[in-house]
Amino acid sequence: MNVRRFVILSIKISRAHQIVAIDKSLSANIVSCTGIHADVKGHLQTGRDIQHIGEVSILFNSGRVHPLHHSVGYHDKPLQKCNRFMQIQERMFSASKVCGFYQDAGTATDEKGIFLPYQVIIYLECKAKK
Amino acid sequence: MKLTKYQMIKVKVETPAQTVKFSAVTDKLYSRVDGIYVSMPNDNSHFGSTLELRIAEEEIFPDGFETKLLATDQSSSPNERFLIFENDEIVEAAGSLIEGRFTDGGFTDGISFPYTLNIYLKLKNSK
Repeated sequence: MNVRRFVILSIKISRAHQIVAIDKSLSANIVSCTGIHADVKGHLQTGRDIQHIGEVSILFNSGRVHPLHHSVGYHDKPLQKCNRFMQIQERMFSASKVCGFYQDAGTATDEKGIFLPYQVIIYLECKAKK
Repeated sequence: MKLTKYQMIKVKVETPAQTVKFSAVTDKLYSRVDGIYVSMPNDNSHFGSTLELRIAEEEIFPDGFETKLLATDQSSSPNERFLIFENDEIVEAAGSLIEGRFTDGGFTDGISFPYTLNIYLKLKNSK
């Protein structure tokens, strides 16, 4: 029997256009990944939505498959009509690595144009053997 | 027939950035948890707030899981708001222990304390 497991990758961005490498080992009981969602954590004093605050690139199975390269946005309201993970369907090799990068776009600024540090959370929706 | 029930768990949050541990029990007349949804009086309380949850000693949401992923705005009807478990994912109910840890995100603009976080469980019995 499978159970749902969420894997959380946390990335802190402190300067404009910063690039952060992603390199995380998954636990051995994870058998597949069915969704990815990346979002800014908390509130930023931007005073506006930002369509493109950065971009994320994710590779599974120690770099053998590349299911996602997509922009990340910031919403000035915390809730949306629905919170949907971007659906994928990848089998995971036992104890493989998730790797990739997050690149800031330099758009996380306040009304005076000053860059606002922030944290991005990348959620992997996975299935694991119980 | 007792096929579906919506059970509510209330968690009182007294101060900004507070971490509240809570526990509850699922209704013993229903065999599995089919879905979960979370609401707060002010949508902005979801900024940075997290919910760690275990049911029947199984991890449902890990430490750091944001509550905004378990909620929608008011444009969705209540039945559309639940995170639904698939048929091959069994989350046992039937009197299972629910153990949770909620951490308020610390956003205070326009938010009154204390407030109450509601967690809704959709419980099912197989036909």
